[in-house]
Amino acid sequence: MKSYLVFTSAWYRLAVFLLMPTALIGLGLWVERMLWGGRGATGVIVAAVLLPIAEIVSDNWLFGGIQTKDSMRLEYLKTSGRGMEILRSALWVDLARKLLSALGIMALCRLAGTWMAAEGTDYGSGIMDWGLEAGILLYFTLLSYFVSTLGTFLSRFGDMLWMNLLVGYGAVFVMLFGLTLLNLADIIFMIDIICAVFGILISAVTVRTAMKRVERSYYDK
Amino acid sequence: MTRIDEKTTITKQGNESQPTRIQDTALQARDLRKRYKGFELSVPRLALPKGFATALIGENGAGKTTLLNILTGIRLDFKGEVTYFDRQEPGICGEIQEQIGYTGPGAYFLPQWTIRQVEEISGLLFHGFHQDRYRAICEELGIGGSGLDVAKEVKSLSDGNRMKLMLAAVLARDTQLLILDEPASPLDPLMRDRLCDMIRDYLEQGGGEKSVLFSTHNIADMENVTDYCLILEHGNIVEEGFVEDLKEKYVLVKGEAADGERAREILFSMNRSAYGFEGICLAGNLDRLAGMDVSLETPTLSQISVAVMKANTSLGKLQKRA
Repeated sequence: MKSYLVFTSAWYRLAVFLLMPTALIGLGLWVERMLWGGRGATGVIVAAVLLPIAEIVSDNWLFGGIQTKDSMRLEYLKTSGRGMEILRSALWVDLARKLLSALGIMALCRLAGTWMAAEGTDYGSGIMDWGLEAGILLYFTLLSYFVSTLGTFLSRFGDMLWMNLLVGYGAVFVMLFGLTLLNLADIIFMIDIICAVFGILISAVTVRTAMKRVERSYYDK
Repeated sequence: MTRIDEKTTITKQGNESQPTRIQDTALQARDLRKRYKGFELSVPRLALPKGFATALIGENGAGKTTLLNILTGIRLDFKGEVTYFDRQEPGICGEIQEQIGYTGPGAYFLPQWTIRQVEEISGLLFHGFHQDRYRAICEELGIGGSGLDVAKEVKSLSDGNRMKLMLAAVLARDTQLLILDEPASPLDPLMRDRLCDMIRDYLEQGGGEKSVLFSTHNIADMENVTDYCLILEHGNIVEEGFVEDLKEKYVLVKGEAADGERAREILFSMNRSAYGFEGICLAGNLDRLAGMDVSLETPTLSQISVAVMKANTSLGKLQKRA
């Protein structure tokens, strides 16, 4: 955990640990209440779609450019025998934080959405399939995590903020496409498992690629 | 002027053919080789004297940074071996890196790191890092202006302040060897003087156990802290030795313009004007100046280095021919 925190500035912590979740939950609930009349599910969709772009853009301040050819910029870490180990831990903790953030934001939006749901709707009346609800919540979380991680993985090949923004916009479209799978609610747990597998794969690829890039800079490859 | 006649025998003690033998070494390297396209670093033997400040001098592209990166362990694709401190086995490991403080050019810290983050990361990376010493050095060096603002990002610092920050991070650690790549270049003259003091203090605190190796183009500014010198050209060490020995090995010769043409063949390097010439000569070759009206002076390290570099670079050879 400490390995990760040392890479984050106070502004980053404020933005990612506090402002980003607050803004996403707030926006989700506002849309839920004001635009859709409290049907109970729109807030979480808004949060799920926007979370990847927030994660991808904010990653520029954390590991931006780590996978560029010029990752010799980590020279200071390389002068320590523990540098690579610390970097690896930081990369993994960052992914764990992304997953927990996604879960927290989706769960809060969902719970608040249910609480705010208008009378007469299924949510408002308390007629709900809690198993299905859990499956959908997990789907939002895993899909959002997968797209965030894929986006950060791609954007780390450059260190320019506009690249993160571009990838972030692309992530919004991927999320919108991914949300169409909600029509397959009958097999939602199957979809959750597929999302989890892809999430694990992209996490491993992200850490492995970053470490390989940095380790390669010890050599002329 | 001193007239050197045929009978005069000038004896200069020194190391005219062999580099000085070093008793205790901070590191030793053997058969170092690193090949790039169109360039090869080739150092058959390198010994860094323990307890002294060694300057690594050479023109741009001579291989200084490559050599320092190899010695620091941030470049591993080379042939040969490096043995550190009193160890028997060659090679670098975390334990050795703990004892080496390195500052490098370019993007050394992540640009988005703040001064506080550098402190936190250094504490994680190195056991022997002292937070209070880091803060004290940062404040003393006036990093980022008056009043230390630890929230300042590395990217917002000037090159000079970035170098100061690197120095603060390495000097706040308990190390045995400092390897500094061009530490003087981004610093103002006042700060260069302070850098020399810091290097001297570091060596004094070590009581003969701590050593410093730094590369520099600012030879004149760093001369008063340089004990030993390595001159690197085209990837080869072309001269090395204690500065005092080099000053005995080479002599600054000044003479009349009329003798310029004859002297050109004998001197390592020569500058001519309408009034006369001056150049560096091997003390052992002084008798070849017989019959000329010349004055002899002790050269500075800068003059020696430039002469040696000129003698070994195509640019220097071209200048000499001209």
